[in-house]
Amino acid sequence: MEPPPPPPQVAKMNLSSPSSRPPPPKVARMTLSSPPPPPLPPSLVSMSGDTCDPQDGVCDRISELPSNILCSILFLLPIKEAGRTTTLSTRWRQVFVYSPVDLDDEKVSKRRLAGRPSEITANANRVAVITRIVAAHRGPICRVRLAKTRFHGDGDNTYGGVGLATDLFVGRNVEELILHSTHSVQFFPADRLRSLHLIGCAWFPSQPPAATFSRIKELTLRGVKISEPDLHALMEQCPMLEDLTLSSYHEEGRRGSMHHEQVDIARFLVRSNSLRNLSLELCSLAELVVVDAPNLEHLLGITIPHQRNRCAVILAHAPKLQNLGCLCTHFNLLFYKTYRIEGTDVLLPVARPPIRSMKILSVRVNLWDLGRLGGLARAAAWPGEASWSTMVRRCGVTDGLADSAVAVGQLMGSDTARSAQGGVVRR
Amino acid sequence: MAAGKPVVMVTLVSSDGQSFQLLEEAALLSAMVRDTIQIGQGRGPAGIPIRNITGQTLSMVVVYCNKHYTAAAAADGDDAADEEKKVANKKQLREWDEQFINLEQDKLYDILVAANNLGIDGLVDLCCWRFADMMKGKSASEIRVKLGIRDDFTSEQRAQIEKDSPWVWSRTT
Repeated sequence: MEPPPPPPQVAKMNLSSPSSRPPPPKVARMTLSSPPPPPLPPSLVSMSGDTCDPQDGVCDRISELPSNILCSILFLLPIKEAGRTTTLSTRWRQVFVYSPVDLDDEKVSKRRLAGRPSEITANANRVAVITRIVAAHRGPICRVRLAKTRFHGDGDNTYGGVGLATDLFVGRNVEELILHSTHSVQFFPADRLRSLHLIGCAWFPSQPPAATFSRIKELTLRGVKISEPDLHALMEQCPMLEDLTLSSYHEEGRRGSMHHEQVDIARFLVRSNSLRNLSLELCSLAELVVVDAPNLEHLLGITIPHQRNRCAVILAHAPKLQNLGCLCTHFNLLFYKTYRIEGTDVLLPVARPPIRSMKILSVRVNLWDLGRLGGLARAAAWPGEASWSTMVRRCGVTDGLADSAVAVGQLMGSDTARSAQGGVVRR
Repeated sequence: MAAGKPVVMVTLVSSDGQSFQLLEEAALLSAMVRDTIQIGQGRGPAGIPIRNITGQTLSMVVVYCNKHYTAAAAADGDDAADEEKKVANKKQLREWDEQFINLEQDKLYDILVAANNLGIDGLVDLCCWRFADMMKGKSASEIRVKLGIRDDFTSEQRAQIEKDSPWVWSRTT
């Protein structure tokens, strides 16, 4: 059976349209000069679409809507259902081809996998289907999710080298890209890309094209094998990055079992003018240095619950940091300041924490360690004006936290403490 | 928003002569109103005439604008980074939206066309969402019946489609 192709040859069909067809609706722009279709007389308005005779043409108000609106409607449907609207009428046949689409390889080819073909055949099928869709569709492809399909030339010949051509999506206005379980990533220049999620990718190219990341705001790397220098190079390529998530864990398959990937990042230096949220779940991380992050507000997930890692956190310049967590009792929070000595930036320890913007500090402690909390407050050397009271609550989280509790330093008043609880759980 | 600001009202006049007063800031959700005020018109007692939109439809649009303006102002008011509360408020607004847009089709068309002409993006998106919801999970003929779409294919065209893409006729994905 043929893979589902998008409807071709729209123009040809229109030429042969019957004379009984109503005149094509005008595309109304958002101005007063082009009026919408005139309001219907009350007698017709009261008739609902379900009961009206489709032959009288009056009730087909949806087809009179401007193309941009119909495109927006189609974008909200799964691609296959959107494609099916091409069989509604000649008008709808034109709309889909130019509408923006959301391409998901699992949805595109699900039906074809019913007979459980070998992965080699399935991969080849998916590649063929996606290639045909992208070639035939003329609208923007806003969101691309590839959970199984491979890129061509990823250095792995298990599948006979069959894979998507890297340049397939170039110039197609991809804004969101989600790559899951792809053995390796082949990036393509995408100047509109604002969100990139990589999940479980075996390696990260050491020199991805800069044009991929120039406008990216959200970056998630879960279980992605990336080296320390590559990560730092990547950060420099993302001048607009606001949200960054780095994790050693990723979910696998439908059942969502968590997989752990060895990601060797021991030291992470954060330098970013745009970064606001940083979330880390890296087992290997031993030292986190926030060198310069003038807009960083949330720094979360430094300690992984069931790992007894001790990550040192060095804060040099994070003047807007509000939320810091979760640290462990043996935490090593150090406050440094950048000094410029003979032309080079040098980090030197300072006695007092320079961050007055901090609202929430969350710390994990073992229940038998509660006595340490007072010492903890002193150890943090918090400014005297902040009242330090402790709030301890057992965590109902399933990851072996039974012997632990979460302590939240309440610095600003009870409101903050309440949201602090949320902050801890959200992590 | 700023408490010291004087309260400015604008009047929108529907095609059948009904007038609606609302806060200028709420009316500014509409790109059309924004443009009109920017060129220095519409602040007078005569108000802004809204052509092709009846009072019945305009009243709904005004309700939407007021609600969304109030919600945005409230969110601006407590600038404390209380994420939980923000999420809850957002959810509440979304529920209100869904309730608001749960209308019969004819009203929905009127509102969608009005929102498009007035340039209220949020309301356009909301209406589109509602229509998409109506179409979801339905076969082509079911959609045609539901929305009253005329099937104007010739038999040759139909045969061609059937031949080119047999998958579009199946209902399940």
